[in-house]
Amino acid sequence: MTMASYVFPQSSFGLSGKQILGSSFSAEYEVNPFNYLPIKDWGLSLKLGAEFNKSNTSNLYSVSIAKKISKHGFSARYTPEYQSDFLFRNGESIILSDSVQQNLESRFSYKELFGFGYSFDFSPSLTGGFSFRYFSEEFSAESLNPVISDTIYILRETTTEKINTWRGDFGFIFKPYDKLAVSLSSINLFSIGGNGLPENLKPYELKKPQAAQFGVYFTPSKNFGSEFIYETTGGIKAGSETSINLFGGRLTMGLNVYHDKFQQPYVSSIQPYTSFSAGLFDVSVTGLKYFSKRNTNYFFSKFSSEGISGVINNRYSSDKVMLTISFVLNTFKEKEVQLLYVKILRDIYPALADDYIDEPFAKGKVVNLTDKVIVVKPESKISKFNFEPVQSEAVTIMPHDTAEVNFYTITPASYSNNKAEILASDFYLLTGDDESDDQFQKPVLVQGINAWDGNVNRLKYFIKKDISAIGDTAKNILRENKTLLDTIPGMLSNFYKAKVIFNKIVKNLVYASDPRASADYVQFPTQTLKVKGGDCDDLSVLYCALLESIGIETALVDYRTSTDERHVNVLVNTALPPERAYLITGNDKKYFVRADEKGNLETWIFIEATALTDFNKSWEAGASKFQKEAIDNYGIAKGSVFIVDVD
Amino acid sequence: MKKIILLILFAASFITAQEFRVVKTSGTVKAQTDTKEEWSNIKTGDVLSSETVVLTSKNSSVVINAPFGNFTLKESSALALSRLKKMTLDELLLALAMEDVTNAKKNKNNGKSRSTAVYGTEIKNDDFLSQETNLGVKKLNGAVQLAEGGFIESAVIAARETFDKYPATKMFAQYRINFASLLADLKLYDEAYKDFDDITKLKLSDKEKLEVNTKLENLRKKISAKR
Repeated sequence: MTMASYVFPQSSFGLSGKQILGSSFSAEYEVNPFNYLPIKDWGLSLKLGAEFNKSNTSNLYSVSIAKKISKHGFSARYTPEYQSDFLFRNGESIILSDSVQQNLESRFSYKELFGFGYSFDFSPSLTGGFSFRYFSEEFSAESLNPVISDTIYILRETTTEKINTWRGDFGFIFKPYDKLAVSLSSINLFSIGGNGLPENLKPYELKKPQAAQFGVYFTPSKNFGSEFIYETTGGIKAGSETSINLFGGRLTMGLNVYHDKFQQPYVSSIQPYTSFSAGLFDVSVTGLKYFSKRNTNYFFSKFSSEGISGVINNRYSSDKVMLTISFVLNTFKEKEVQLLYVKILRDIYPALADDYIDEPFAKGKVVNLTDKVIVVKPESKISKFNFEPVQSEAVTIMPHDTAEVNFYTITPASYSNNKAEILASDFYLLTGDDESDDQFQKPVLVQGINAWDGNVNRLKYFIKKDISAIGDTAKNILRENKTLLDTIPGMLSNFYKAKVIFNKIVKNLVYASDPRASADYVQFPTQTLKVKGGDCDDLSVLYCALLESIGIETALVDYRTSTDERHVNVLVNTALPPERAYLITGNDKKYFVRADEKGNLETWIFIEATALTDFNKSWEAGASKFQKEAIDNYGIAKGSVFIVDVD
Repeated sequence: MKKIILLILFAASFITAQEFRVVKTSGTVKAQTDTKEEWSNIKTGDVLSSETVVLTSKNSSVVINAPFGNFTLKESSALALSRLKKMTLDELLLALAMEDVTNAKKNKNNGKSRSTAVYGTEIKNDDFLSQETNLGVKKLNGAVQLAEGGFIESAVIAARETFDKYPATKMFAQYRINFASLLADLKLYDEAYKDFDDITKLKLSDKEKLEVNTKLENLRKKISAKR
């Protein structure tokens, strides 16, 4: 009877030797049964090698492929050269007729043909997965059988038995910190198949000792990493690697040492390797040196008593040299920047269109995740509001630094929704091409088209939007008054144009206070003409638009009381030099003097647009209010009266 | 509490609706109220509001009773009654600050050039010079009398308003020197220096040049000592 004194060689043995937390891909389920994939999309690996003291059937050791889909990781490998063959003389021999003695042989062949792996990222720091490996074992033995017919002769026969088995393992890898990871996985957790092997061959079956494997992976810097794996059967793998930037890529050198409880010396083998990675590929050359003598002539008795448990790493395995070529293909973009947060600075008032081009409506904080300087182009798109993303100014961010980015928006010319809505706004970060590197979504309040934020500076947007539409109305009025306008001095042209336009429109307008609160609802000039009325904002906007459409400069005067009540009226630039102001008035309270950018002094007059009687009354009312609030009460200096130029 | 509020409201209405009584008139004295275009003759016993501007012709004068006492406006002068009050230095500074805002150059002039062409009725330079200068000078005279009456801050503001609205009056160097000197007297050295510096651009007599340069030198010393 053969005694089972199993050899449990180091199971955590990868032919490439590379650490699993690296960036290259190689589906080595021996060290990575939980199928941890350091890739974002596709991984492809090709392993070529040769064994010393042994002739290889093929130099192709394995072909692996992996794909990451969101949190799911899939991998598969084909391993044609993961095999160990043993040929023994079974002690019987036959002497042929030519007196040649031939020994009878037994051949044991162990192959690992392929495997599959699956993993799931439970969180950015926790991945769990499993792997299945398919093994094929073939046992053939020669025997002599006498055949009795007319003569008696000995027939040399070969008996072959074959079994196929699946082995499965699972495990977890946990990364509590960027620099540290730990893993726990099974070794030979379960095995399926392999039944029907005759009792006499069972001692030669691949051993499947069940065990557990603990790993610790430490990468204190991007230039150095080490890992330590302990198996409960006594096997140990310890390795370190260091890397440097070279020729635009990265050169890595590492060394693993292995301990097998049943192999001598204590460190049974070493595995030096070096690799170079750049861009999408990684090439590594790995050596494997066993310190105990690798027998090429095995004693059958010893083999039959101990058997083997590993196909590529067992007491009979030879020294090897491997070439591994890996490709990491990303069909989608690697994330280089991350949007940490977005803060909405203000609601969107569609009428204040240009204001959102000049001033951002949202700000975000971005972190550069890479070691290089990144230029980020922020974009935003408000659903049902923007047709296309609106790009903001690019921001340069230093490696691993953060920066603030602004988001702007544009009101489509066709936007006409008069109700406020909360809409989803998408914020994108672009780095280099048109594909978004990161994105964020936040709700934003988009007001109706007539909404106004109460800032008189921004009333000008209501004026400007309708200038072209309102121009015809203004020109028609001027045409009606052609006779008068043709006879007045040219320098009084602005004054008289302002006068005839005002006197014409007041006939059809009524003052109506805004029931929706005048501070947040303003009519566009064409709307005011259509509904034939409005409050001070609406009437001032209409009058400014009419004058601006024919080239007369206007400004708005914003009066505020201590109780925050507001009133707006209009300033009109007569373009008269103050020396000529007496031509339009004998009262110097009815105008004030402003200098243009060239220093020319011009006479501006005040018009109270809500005094819908006639031009002179409106002028007097406007002047009186300005004199009292702005001049006598120092309103302009105290900040209770503002002058806002429309253009 | 209600009583206190009523009292405050009453006091406020009293202050804002200040009245001025005409004590005596001599010659032609006219008044223009608020934003009205007309100038109307006034006579002894008339009550005027603070929004009134009083104008005296040659060889005319008016005595006005104000809350602080009587004030005589001499011949060829004009005065806004709202200026007949004691201003604090803070109010003066506010008024000066306001000047900077209202006179601030606009960012854009639309590329338009100012029309100087004359169509239709011709406007003669003589007309405007006589009209503009006449009223402007009268206002400066009124401001001078305000200063003489102790209303220095009000006088400064009245003069500056006049220089602003009647630019031709800025050519009268002696008026400019007088009012710039008032600013210096009020220890507003920076403002005074700016005015004197502007005065050097006018056509000055030798005596005026000497006076302005002396003032500038003194102000320079005071400004550097202040810093």
